[in-house]
Amino acid sequence: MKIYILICSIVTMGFVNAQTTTMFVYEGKFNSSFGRADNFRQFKGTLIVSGDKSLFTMKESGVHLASVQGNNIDLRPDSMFTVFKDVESNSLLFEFSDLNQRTHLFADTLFPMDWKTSEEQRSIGGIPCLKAVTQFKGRGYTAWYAPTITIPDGPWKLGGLPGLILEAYDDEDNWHMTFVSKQEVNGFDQDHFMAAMKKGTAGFPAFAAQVKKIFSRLEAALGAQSSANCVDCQTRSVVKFHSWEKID
Amino acid sequence: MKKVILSVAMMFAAFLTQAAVGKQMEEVKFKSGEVQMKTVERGNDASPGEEALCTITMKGRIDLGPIEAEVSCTTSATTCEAATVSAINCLSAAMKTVRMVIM
Repeated sequence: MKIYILICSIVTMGFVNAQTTTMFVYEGKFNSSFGRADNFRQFKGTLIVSGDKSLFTMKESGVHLASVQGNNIDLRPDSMFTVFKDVESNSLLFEFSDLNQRTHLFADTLFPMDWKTSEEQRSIGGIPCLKAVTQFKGRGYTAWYAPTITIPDGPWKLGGLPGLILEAYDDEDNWHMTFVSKQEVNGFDQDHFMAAMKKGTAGFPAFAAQVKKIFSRLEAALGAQSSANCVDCQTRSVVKFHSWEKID
Repeated sequence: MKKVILSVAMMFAAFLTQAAVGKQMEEVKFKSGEVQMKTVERGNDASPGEEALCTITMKGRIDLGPIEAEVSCTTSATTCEAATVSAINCLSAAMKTVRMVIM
């Protein structure tokens, strides 16, 4: 009996370890002023796929330090566009970093985008790809996906195509990710995300509300400052808020 | 009749000498490398002696990655130099306020 249990344990462990985890590496750029000005920076993206679950994140190439200087305050987190997807439970979680650089997780719909595919072909990293386009959260996106890699995933929140997205960009090319290499890895820490999903995570409307709250806080602070310093009232300060994803 | 024609001509000439509505766009480069457009406006009913206003806008950014807040200060003054100084002071104060909110 003991031998039987031991054999079953070994077989089970072997099965678990047989689930490969692959990291797909992307290189690209992001314009943090998204079209209103040129503030492009280079990024490295990684999509780690382990079974039905994946984690995508983008890190700026080179050293990035948050800075509070002059008229430009850079509070970008080290990792941006971080998204955890679980196809099995049809779930998606994304990270958002607030003014105090605290990270919050919010839920969103997994692959709600309606893709229009075409027969247009190109090769990316030697892998044949087909083209698809969609409108998502207020922006148009183009994706080149590889039918030979049967993983319906991609960078950031994009996915749902019959193949892994190897290149994706928005219509104005403010964000662009291109696959460059892949490698087998040991896995990634899913516990943090699985615990959040189990506990229940606020959805996109809550994210939109938090962003608006940040904006209102800034607006109120600047409004109070303007009134206090108003001597001739010919100077006025205005706060405008811009979001990569459309927030109603 | 000659007096009427002369009166109309004088009135027309007076109208032409009024400052017309118009805008001049000038490009000003600041030390930071930012290029700001300024608008010099003249009132459409300006009469001789009334000063034109120069309007300057300075902008700052709070970059949160996929979210950005843009702070702008707009100042009008009789000279562009005064408007620029005032806009810079306004923006500095605004960004200082933002830093206090953050910290």
